[in-house]
Amino acid sequence: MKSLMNTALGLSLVVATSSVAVADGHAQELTIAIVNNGHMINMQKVAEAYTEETGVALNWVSLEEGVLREQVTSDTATGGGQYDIINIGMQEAPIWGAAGWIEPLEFGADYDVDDMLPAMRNGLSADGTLYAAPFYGESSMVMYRKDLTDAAGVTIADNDSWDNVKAAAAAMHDPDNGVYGACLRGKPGWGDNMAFVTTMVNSFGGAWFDADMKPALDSDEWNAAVNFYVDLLGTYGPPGSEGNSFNEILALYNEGKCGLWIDATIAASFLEVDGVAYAQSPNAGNPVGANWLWAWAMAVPAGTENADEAKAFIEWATSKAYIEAVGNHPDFGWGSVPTGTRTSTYAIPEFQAAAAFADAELAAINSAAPEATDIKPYVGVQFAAIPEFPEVGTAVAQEIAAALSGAKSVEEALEAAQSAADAIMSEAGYY
Amino acid sequence: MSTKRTLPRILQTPAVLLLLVWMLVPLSMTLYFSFIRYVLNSTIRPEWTTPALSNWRGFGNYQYVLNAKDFWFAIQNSVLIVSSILVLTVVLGLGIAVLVNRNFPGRGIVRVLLISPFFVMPAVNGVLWINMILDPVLGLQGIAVGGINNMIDGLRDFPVLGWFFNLWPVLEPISFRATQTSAYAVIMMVTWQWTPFAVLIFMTSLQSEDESQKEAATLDGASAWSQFINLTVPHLGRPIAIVVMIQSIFHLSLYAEIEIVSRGNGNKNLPYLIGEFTSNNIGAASATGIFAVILANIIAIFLLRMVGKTLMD
Repeated sequence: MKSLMNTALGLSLVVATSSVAVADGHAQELTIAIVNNGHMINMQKVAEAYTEETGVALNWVSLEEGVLREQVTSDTATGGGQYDIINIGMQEAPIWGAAGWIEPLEFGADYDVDDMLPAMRNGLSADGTLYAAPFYGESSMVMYRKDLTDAAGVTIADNDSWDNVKAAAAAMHDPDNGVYGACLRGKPGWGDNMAFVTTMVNSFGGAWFDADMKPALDSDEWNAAVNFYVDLLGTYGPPGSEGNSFNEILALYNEGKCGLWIDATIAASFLEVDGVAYAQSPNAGNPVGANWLWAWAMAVPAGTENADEAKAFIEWATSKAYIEAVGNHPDFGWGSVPTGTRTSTYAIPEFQAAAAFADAELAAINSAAPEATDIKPYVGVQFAAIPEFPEVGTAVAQEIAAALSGAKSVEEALEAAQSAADAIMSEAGYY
Repeated sequence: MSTKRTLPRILQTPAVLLLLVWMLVPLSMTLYFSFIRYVLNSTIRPEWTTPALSNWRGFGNYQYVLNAKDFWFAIQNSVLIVSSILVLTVVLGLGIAVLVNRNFPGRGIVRVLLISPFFVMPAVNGVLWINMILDPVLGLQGIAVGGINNMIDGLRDFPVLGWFFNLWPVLEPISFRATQTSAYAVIMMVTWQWTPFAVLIFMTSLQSEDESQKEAATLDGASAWSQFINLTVPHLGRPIAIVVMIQSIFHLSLYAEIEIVSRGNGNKNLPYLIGEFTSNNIGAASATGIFAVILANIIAIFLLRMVGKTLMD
């Protein structure tokens, strides 16, 4: 009887609240799918103020990057309408926008769209229309232990040559005392090891696809770059590098086990060891740039019924005011504001004081060119903004990891990668 | 006679129909998708993004999957993982069950501790093992290898024993995320997780063992080993068959551990392959799904025969 009463009570409550929502004419709740990175986790707390101000309840679904991608892709592709706001990366935004899966974003004058860093705006637009607003952006750079390089008598310059970087790693390498010269990504995944390896290939003058969108993994540039990568990481990297991505290396670095690390600029705000210095990514002399460009952005799936409220929230969460709110928040402060999205952020004195890496990050982001060039026919720096890329990238990533593990030679791995990529691209109807 | 049969059958129909719908709808959708071109998104051929009969391609998806880079490897590897785990869990489970089947102080606590790995979630199990135990730098393995190397380094300076320790090699930690070893890491962690299941089943059936038979055997001078081989193992035939069957069904669809250990590098099975295809190519994923169903059925037929035999005896 009691349970029956409870059920009845619950039902009546549901009816009551839903009727309120109907009466009000707009949503009282937004469901937001976010990736479980530090900035997004912090947003849940900062956004409590938004709920207080507007009365819109926020329902967070926080997922690991790969899982989020699967969930959001299938939900959006099939028009499931499970989420009102989704976190998507720069790889998906232009394609999904062009496919009509996500709504175009237009914001008021206060938002100041022109304040957005040009590379970010280009990377998240399709045909000049913005489809996703960057929540935080990043590029890649070299982070190295200046105390170790000084002790070894080597230097790492901005956009240094790869040979020089290798020499510096060799000089710092001291495995007997638990210090490895270079910690680099090796975990297979198009957003993990391939993010780094692709920037290396770019700097050697290679690209994922040629002008006919045929995979170019059997090119000399790929061969040279991957050989260099396997040699550098195999010789001067920690054991088990084929399992390391951003988080694993961050843990190693903070344990004082790494000399140099080339990875996301955002890493700099999580480093807890002393004496870290920054340099622009090594480049073998290629204009495409040697660093990647990535953003986690917020978009509104076309299937949602609360598009207006969703856009209003995105406008708030990616605004200058939000960055101020994080900076002045008692729990966070200027060291943990989302960076890499707006020019104005880098002009804030409190932020400059809290973030030693600010200038290096801004320079890295501004030097990345996501648009198609004559070297590469696709949009994207360390990925190609085509729907098939995750599949191609994953297949290639596993072969590169096999080469790094020593299970295959670099040549065998690249041959297998080329034939797998070729099969996927011809299956997709490119040629 | 016939009325006697019809009434129960009529009463069974709702349940049977429900089960049929439950099974047939997803299966027929998968079959349908596996015969058409269906991708989540395509800029080149947008017409493929909606499932329709006009995108019919016959066995094209099957052909594509059969020629895919890792298809045969996934099947081979799946068989390797499942059979290794089965052998290990049954052998270890038997041993442990027999050991804890006697009275000793603290038996209750020991049994609870033995069962506990079974209640760890698969993903947590993977993360725990690969990061805290097997990691070659920060994990238990890395620390242990480093410690042993340091200790041996110290012993090399001893006057008399030094030459002996100088013969010792410097140990290198093994990376369990590498192409060559990732399958063994998964076998290890799943065995750790499922041995308690085998122990639990064997322990309960050991309690129904005929004690008077064992006493008689002891009086006749049979050793503990021959008692175990001739009395206990035959008595456990049925539970062993059940453990093998249930575990095969579960381990054919391993996913979390494979994802966490190496992201499919050097270690894959059909479910993992399906997961990789679902990033875009639903047609290929569905065809792989049908292959997985066929494989599972082949294995199930063998298993049912085997288990059926022991249950009939």
